[in-house]
Amino acid sequence: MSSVILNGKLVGSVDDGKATAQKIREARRAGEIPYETSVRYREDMDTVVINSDGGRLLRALIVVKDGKPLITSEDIQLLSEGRISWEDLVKQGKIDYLDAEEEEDAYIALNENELTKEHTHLEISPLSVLGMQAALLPFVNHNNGHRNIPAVKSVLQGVGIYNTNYLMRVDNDSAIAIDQQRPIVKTVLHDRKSAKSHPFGQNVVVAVMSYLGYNMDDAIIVNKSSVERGLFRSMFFRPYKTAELHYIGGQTDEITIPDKDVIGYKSEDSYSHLDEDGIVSPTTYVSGGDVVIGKVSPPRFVSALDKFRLGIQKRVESSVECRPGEEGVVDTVYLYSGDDGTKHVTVKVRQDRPVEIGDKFGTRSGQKGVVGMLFKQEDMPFTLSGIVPDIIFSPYSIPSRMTMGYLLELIGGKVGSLGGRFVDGTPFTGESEEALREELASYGFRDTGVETMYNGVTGEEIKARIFVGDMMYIRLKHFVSNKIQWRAKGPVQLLTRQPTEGRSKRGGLRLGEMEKDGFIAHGAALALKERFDSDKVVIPVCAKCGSIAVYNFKRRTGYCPIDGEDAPIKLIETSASFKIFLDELKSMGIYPKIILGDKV
Amino acid sequence: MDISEIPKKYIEKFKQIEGENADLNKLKEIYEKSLITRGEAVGIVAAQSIGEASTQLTLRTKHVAGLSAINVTSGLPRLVELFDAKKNIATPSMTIYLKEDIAKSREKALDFADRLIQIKVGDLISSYSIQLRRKELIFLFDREAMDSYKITFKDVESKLRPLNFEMSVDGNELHVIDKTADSIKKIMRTKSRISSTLIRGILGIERTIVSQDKDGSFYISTYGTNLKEVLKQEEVDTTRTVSNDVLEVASVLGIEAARTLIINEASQTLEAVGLMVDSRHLSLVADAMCSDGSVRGISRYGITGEVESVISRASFEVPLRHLVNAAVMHETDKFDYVANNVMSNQVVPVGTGVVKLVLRENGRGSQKDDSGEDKTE
Repeated sequence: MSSVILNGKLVGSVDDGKATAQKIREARRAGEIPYETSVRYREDMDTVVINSDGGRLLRALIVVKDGKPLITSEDIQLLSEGRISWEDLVKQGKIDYLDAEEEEDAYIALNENELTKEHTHLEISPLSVLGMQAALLPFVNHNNGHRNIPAVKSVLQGVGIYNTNYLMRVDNDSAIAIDQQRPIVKTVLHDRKSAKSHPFGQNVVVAVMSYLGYNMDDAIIVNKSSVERGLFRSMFFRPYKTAELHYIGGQTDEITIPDKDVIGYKSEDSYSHLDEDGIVSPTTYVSGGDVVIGKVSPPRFVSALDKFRLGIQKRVESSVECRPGEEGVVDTVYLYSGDDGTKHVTVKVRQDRPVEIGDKFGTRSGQKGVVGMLFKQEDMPFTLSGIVPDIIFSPYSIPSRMTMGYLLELIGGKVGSLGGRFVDGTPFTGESEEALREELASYGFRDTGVETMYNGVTGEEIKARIFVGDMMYIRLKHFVSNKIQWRAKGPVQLLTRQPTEGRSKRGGLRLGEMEKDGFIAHGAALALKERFDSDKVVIPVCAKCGSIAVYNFKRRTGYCPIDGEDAPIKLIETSASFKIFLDELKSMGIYPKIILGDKV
Repeated sequence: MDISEIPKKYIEKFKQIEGENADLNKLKEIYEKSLITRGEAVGIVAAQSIGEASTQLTLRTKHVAGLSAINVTSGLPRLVELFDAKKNIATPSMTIYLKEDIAKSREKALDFADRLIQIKVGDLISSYSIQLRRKELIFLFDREAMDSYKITFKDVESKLRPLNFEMSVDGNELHVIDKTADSIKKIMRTKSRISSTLIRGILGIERTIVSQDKDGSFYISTYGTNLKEVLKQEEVDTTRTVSNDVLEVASVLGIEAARTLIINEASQTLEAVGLMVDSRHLSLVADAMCSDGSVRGISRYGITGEVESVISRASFEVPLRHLVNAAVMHETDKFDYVANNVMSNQVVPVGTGVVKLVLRENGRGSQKDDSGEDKTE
């Protein structure tokens, strides 16, 4: 007696569990029950486990009977001629969809030649051990397994054409590459339609060498002249959105050029780009601080007293500005209404993003790095045949990471570009290293891929032979211009007078607790004080009673709330946050007194 | 500085290396050079040196199954335990060195190690029952256990006699009548009193393991500590035997021993994972912890909680308590610590900040010039 569990619930029992499982399996292949059903007989628990619910990952395998796959070369012939379809094969019971549970019951062969009588299934292709993304990487089977994870992530972050209707879309943080190529070294998956229409990289000439120290620690050197010719150039879209909101009481926002009497009116200059309707028009060049959409709102947080005093209701400026530090051309303006009839405005600003120092690049083997330097073509090294690399990659990135796929792709790309063909880099089944090297030798190059190179600055021959070739590089979406942050002076927080936090608020970089300890450990006491001077204030203190006094800096007079006019008032330099601390102590009933001493 | 101020041990060592007629002025130069300069932030440098190394320690502790070795807490948990001066450490353990004659013989050492293990009445009982009406407790003893420990009922009875209960032995059973008991609670208390009575061994020592050191002499490692009692044993080499419980060592052997133990344990913990921390940093920490004659941890209950400056204390932990207490006690903060000067943006009295102007030229820097009027100009 074996019990039967259907979708996790015990439903009954059968006499022979193994036979029942086999029976269900055959019924499924015969098309009597849906092909998504999975059965397993668990010998340890003497249980038949049947799953037919949603959410299980299934994978297709060729059914094997008596050591022979059910799909014959005849089937493949018919399939390639289009006379039968995949569904037909599933219906004929030649293809099984297995879930994780049933997989435990199956004995799956990776290749046809390793089939035995015990095998139940055959892998359609060894490539199917990889996911869709990993199968796009050439020669992944030659890489250290850990490297393929960042490799897949690099590909996902590549700037390409993520959507062919990007002109009509409004996406946050969207970058579109201007010129993209199909890789020379490709896998079978690159022949699929979606890979063809969504390219994500460019084939560039890469030299593996150290050059003037600008490609240390995973940095790369990029040929500036190539960049000027448009290498890896991309555009970046920044949407600005706003809506004419309706408030309780019939008041609404208004999208318009704000009047001069509006509260919070900016300079006339910043509204200069607006059309009569209060929105910039396409093809207008805008930069940080320019108003993109002019808007005024009814006063919300103005107290009743202010309303009374002002007489008429003033309106508040609430325009949308171009982000500080960014500039670009207004690409599209969208005007549309929401569900309740509110007017929505979206302005999409297009920015040109040529490659600059600090931009991130990746390959399909997990070797990623930032641009360390842009060199003019004449300063780059060149080969005997006059080839100047687009990218110089550091050889020190290879040994510890063991990404042999990188080297194979480099040779493969060289062979492909010399032979004018695509190279098959499909994992497990792609072209072999020996064949590629043989072909490279037949074009008159060293079969190792190395070449003699000359220093571009001095013209001297470089003693070492340099490994050069072609391969696909991917520009990743992490542009420095979106991340760069610096500050000399800038906005401060209202309460503490300390610098604001965060890039978008022009904030400072915090000198934290541990950094402070570093200053102290070095004995740099005065330097530390200066670093913390950002919230420096001068407060008057009564030297007699130690309480904080009142002082008029213009008239240089003051009084102490306790000792009166005659009290000796001293000005103390301290941090605004310490003053708040003293005030908070007072608010909880503790009276701090400042006892003054001689400064020297 | 005079040569006489140099500690004798350095002079001896110097003469050992350079010969009897060595020029002591040279030593003086070396000595002065190696002294810490005034204003050096030794505390923070020590904290950083230990802290940087301990970031490489993982929180996880390795637990080895089996009986072959004593498994003592290591890594970051042990460091925290040491520097916080925890009262109940996770794995109290002793290393007992033996006197020459016993240390050379495995049998003698094993025998002594066995005698150290605590055996309580509770370890020998397989079950018990209560006769409420007669206020009687019946313990069923495990004969096998008793035989293996070579304990007879006579031993048990003699150990229980001081408790003053009516007792009788019946086969494997021990009948105890507690006349004073007037509730189940009291009977249960009697029961636990009896089962926690020590029959043999030293209280607190749960397990012992005999190992051999490089010289071939045997020593005993234990689970559980009782330094005071162990040191009373004749077989023990009292000069070397230690416990890893700092507070216990402080109470038994004194504060200097505790200080040495802190340094040894901390450096051993760090060395065990291959981290190098200069012993000067560790001895500074140990000195700070033991400076007042008792072991105080670096926590809000220890030395950090006893800092003179109110604001520095408040900026560490539980600020409200410190501030309110300071207000009640009318405390004054002299602003001679680091944290309070950083808070109020004053010069920290460390490094360049300790230097003060001594000479006033032309009266400048006098109090008058410090008034507000001059500042605003």
